[in-house]
Amino acid sequence: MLALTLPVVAEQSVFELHIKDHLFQPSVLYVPAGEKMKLLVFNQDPSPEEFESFSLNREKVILGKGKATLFIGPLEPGKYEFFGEYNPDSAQGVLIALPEQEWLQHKAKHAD
Amino acid sequence: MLINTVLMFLRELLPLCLLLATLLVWHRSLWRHFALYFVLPSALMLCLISLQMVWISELLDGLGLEFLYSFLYLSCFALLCVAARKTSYALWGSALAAACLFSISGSNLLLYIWLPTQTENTPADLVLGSALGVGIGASIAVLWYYLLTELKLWRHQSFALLLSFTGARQVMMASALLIQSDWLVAGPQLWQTEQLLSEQSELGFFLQALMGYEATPGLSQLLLYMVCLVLLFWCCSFMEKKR
Repeated sequence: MLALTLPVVAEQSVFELHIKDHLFQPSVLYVPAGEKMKLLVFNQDPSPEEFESFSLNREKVILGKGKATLFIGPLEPGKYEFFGEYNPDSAQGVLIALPEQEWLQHKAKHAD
Repeated sequence: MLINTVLMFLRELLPLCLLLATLLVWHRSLWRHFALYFVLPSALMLCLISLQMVWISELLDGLGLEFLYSFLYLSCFALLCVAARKTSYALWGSALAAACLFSISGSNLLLYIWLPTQTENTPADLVLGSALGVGIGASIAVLWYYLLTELKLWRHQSFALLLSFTGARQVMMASALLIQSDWLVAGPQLWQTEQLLSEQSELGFFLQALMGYEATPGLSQLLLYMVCLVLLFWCCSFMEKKR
């Protein structure tokens, strides 16, 4: 059973989120499903914020003007909500994991 | 603001209150010594972490806090094992274990209390919210204390089992931090019980604070949890069965 938890070496995609005026930018982040990825969260506000997502099972305090690194996935296709624990009314966002075909289409569309 | 403050305090303090209540049942006759062994290292660790928070958070490419917190969670579990296994270390071991958890909760709360944006809000909300959060957490802990006292009198094994769950919870918290920092491989997700029992529900929140309930656990998390649960329960078999 332990063998199932061994890592598979693969190139990791990197995605970025920014927090400004207690808002996530972008508030909707598209990512590929079935892949492990690195998420960089930049807090441009002077105050700290806590990135929190129950569905992603992640929480991370990001100090004012600081940067956080989180590793997520591989994810099933679907929506994963996240929010800022210190400003939950304004800092809200959703991460959408797309199946391979849709992800390729999304990438092609945004590459133009 | 008020609700958010209550939730923040409750989220940080409930696991600590439950652990303290459990340990006070264990060391009921020596609670003054326990309090002394708990307060001094707690204050020291909280000061050190809070003063060096910026420096710590920038270590290891921004993963310093995860490293420190997972170390403290694992230390909490290890100290509980030592305390249960060796009677002579029971008092200070369990007090230090609680101090490890306090330093995590305390530093997170201090960060929240001194948020620059808090100055824009009315301090009354912060004071009332924190009082409510502390009050609710303490009330649950008192109920838990009396329930455990009865359980311990009735059947010592059930107390040992609940203490083991509380200890294994700390390992679950550490594993989540290690996975998100890519220092531990999660493995396949074993089940999804978010619809059945959400972590945001009252019961889910309580079970998370008590025994590390996780709606979407990975294989490595479950394996670690089970191993640590059995290990601490085994250590508890050496505990003195004082009534």
